[in-house]
Amino acid sequence: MTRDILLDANLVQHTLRHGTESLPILRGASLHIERGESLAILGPSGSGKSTLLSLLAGFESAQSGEITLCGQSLSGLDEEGRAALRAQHLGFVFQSFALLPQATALQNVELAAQIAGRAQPREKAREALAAVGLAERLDHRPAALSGGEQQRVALARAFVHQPALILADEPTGNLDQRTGARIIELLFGLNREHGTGLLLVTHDLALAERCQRQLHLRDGQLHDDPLPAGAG
Amino acid sequence: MRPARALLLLCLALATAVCASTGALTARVETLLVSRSAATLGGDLLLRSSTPFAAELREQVAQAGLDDSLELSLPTVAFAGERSQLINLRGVDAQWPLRGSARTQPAQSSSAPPPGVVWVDERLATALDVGPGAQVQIGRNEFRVGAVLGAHPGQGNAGFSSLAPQALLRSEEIEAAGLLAEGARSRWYLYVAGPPAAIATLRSQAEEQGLRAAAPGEVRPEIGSALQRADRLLTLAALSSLILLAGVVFLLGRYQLPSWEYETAVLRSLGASRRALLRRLAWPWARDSLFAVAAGTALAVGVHALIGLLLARQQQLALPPAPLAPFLVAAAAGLLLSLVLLPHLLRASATPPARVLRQQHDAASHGLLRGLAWTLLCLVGLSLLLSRSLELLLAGLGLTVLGALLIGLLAWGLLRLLPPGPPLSARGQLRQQGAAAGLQAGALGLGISVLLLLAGLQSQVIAPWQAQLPADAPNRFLLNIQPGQRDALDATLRESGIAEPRIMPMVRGRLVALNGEPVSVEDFDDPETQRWINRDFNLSSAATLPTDNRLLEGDFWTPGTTEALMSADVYAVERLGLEPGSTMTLDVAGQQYEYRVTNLREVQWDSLQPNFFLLVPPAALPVEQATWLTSYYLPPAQSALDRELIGRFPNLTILDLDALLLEIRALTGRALFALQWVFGFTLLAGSLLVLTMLLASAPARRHQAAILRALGLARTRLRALTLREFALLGLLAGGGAALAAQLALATLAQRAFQMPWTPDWRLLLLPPALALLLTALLGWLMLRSTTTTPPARLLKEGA
Repeated sequence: MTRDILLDANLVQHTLRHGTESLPILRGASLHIERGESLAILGPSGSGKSTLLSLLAGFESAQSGEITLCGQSLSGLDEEGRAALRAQHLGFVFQSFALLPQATALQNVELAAQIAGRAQPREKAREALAAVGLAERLDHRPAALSGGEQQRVALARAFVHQPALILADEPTGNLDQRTGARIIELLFGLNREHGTGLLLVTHDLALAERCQRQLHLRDGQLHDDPLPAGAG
Repeated sequence: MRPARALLLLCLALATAVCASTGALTARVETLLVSRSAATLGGDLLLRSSTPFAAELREQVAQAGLDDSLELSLPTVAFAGERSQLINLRGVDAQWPLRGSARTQPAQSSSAPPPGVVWVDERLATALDVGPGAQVQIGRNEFRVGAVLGAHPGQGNAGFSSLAPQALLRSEEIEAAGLLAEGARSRWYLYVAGPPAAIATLRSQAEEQGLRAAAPGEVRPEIGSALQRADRLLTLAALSSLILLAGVVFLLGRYQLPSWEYETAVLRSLGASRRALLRRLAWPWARDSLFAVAAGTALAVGVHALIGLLLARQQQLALPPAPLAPFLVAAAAGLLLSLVLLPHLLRASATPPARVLRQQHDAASHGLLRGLAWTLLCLVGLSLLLSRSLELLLAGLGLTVLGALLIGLLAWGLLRLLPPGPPLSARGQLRQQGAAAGLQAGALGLGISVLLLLAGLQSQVIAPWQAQLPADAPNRFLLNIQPGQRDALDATLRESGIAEPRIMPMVRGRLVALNGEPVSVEDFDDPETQRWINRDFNLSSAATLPTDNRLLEGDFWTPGTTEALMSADVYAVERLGLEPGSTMTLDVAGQQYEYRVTNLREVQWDSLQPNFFLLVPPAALPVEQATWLTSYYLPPAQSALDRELIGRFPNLTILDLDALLLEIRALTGRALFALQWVFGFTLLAGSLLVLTMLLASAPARRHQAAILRALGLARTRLRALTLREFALLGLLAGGGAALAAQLALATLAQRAFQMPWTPDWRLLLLPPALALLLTALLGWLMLRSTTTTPPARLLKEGA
């Protein structure tokens, strides 16, 4: 069973501290995601979705609890070790696309393959961009691309090194409905095609419902059931 | 402290320090030269007369509280045993000299010879074969030689007569020796010393009485003009630093504008008045500017003490204390530079409150032109403040902007020569930055290239040029050769191994008419022209254009012409407004000669060959009125030739130019030394500009770092990537700077010094190393703020 579990978070706790004040964000959140599975995490603004994603990706260390990515515990790794694990096993899609403005579409995608140490990164980047329908826009910089095209570049970058798991943070948040729908098709298509695990953080219910499972972040914990009526 | 604020403080302090250092240095060197000239002159003012001074004048001097000393001099003959020599005899009083002192061998306790004693110069000692203790007869009295005179005040005050061997004694002895008989060609000199204002008043009174006056600066015009050139070069160097620093302030304004606008919009939305906002924005700016200017002035005082110390140690040059004025001007310049921020502050204070809702900024180009125009206006103000010359600003702007562009382009060209790297390589990173990388390399390279230019100028141009000087450069001038001596002298020189001496005739004539119209001093406004007109012109002849002359306009006459034609040097052309076709009438020994100007030429004076402002064909020169002169190079081993010539031709005047050459070299060395310091500031200013550019690009770099780290790039690799990128930027900037400096040096050597050019490989390799060090430092400074950016910030960006 362990082999099939890509990400396992167990009783993760995290508190933000500002001076003498402290604000608990996560109070024992737990989840797991298996190979090829899609999971949506829902929650209102300020519920701690970004913090959870940040801890799951190893951007920050959890203050308590255990997170395991592809069989390796994040808490046993330093910053360098977490980065190396991320490079090998994770792909990212951000709401703001997070493309390098001065690099071309091809260079943006090539970077991820290069960081992961894949052979022939440029060729792989070309293929990934062709897969998202951007074979003709390889040399365009982000400013010369539409929002939807930029997010497709970001998708190509997330898949180029064939990660085990993709983490997507509100991937359609900055796109109109139609463009967003296309991106979602593409995301799930790639998820099916490559058998990649997909963890989506969103507050878009329609998007969440396309995932196999949904978890709701409430009071610092993850729940299977949706938000109780009248709870805000 | 926020980096933008720290940079602004540094920038203004540096600007103030640059202005104060250069201004004060020029002022100190000027004061030094004036005081040295005063020591050469013997006072702060010299009045000359061919008749005794009126008692009223001496009273005026006394009433003005000025010191004075009277000298009487005349040509006469000195005898020692069988030998005799025509001398210029100078009689001085006990107060002599008012400024400077006479060097004597052996050293004397009194500043002037005591009664009964004569001091003779080396040429007279040689000619009469006498030394201290010997007896010399002058007039009807005998005098004991007390000392042999070296350099002494008033040595050159009497013009050509002071070129004869000199003897110095007390003035009362001259009358006692019976030398003041009727017909004696006596001249009186009154040396005056005291406060400048009283001196100026006395001078105008004396000139009203028809006396000729000379002040220290006027005695050594060649040093005065050298100082002026050095001053312009220093100001130019300071201006190029200021232009770079104005770029820093401008960029800082652009960088801070969005946050100022946002802050203003928020406060406006809360109801703050524009005045209150302006005050809120302006107060920190004014406070920081004042602080930085004060710090810069203090820095300049420190730097000055250091420069003074180094000059004293390395150049054996003790500078007088610095005056206050340059420091005040520098403080004003620092404050003026801070005004470059003003349009940004005004624009920020006018931000509409609706900006809070939109949270977006206008296009980067909005207000750019207005800001640039204002910056340029501030630079105009700065150059007027520093030099009263817009020409210098244009030269500075041209050199700085074109230089930076050239270096940037060269660096960019070098980068394009390298094979394109993957995105995660230093080459790939720099290529992605495009023009911005070129500009950074340009700004950094500019500072390095001016330093190189200076080092190269000394080692590759000036030193070889000086080294080749002795081969061609004459170090002896022979004046006053009489027509009958010409051929014998020519033969003597040739026998001594001096090949082809250029012996030229010289006729002295007074300008009486220009284009047929009579002229006098009153016809010219320029004091230099008035002084020139007042003296006799020296006229010479040439059959062909001398090799060290360049024809500017018209044709040189064919050899053998008998027409009364004239060729004029640019000095005469500018002073008298000559052009081809103008006529000049000269009075030579009572007879008038009219010449028609047919060509204009430029003399290369530093050839040290005999040259003249005015030349005529040999047949048109009243040669019966001529004396002759020549110059040649005498190797040190043959210095005995001087004595031999004086023995054979006692009336000759021999000018030994070795001392002058030494002084020219020392002056060049000092000017270059000062320039090195100022160009060091230019390098600092260039580095500050690069730092500001990096600061402005920091948000983008942080964004990039967050993405790369989110994609799994380890921090150590990110660090290495950043450092490699900066190192490559340094190599490119250094490479571009080295190429640009060598290009400039090659042009200078070939065009200005007519020298063959050989590149110095050390100067091609050293700058990239220097730039590498600098950029590695800058890269290290950037590392902290970029590589520690948490990737989690990307998660919050889109929210």
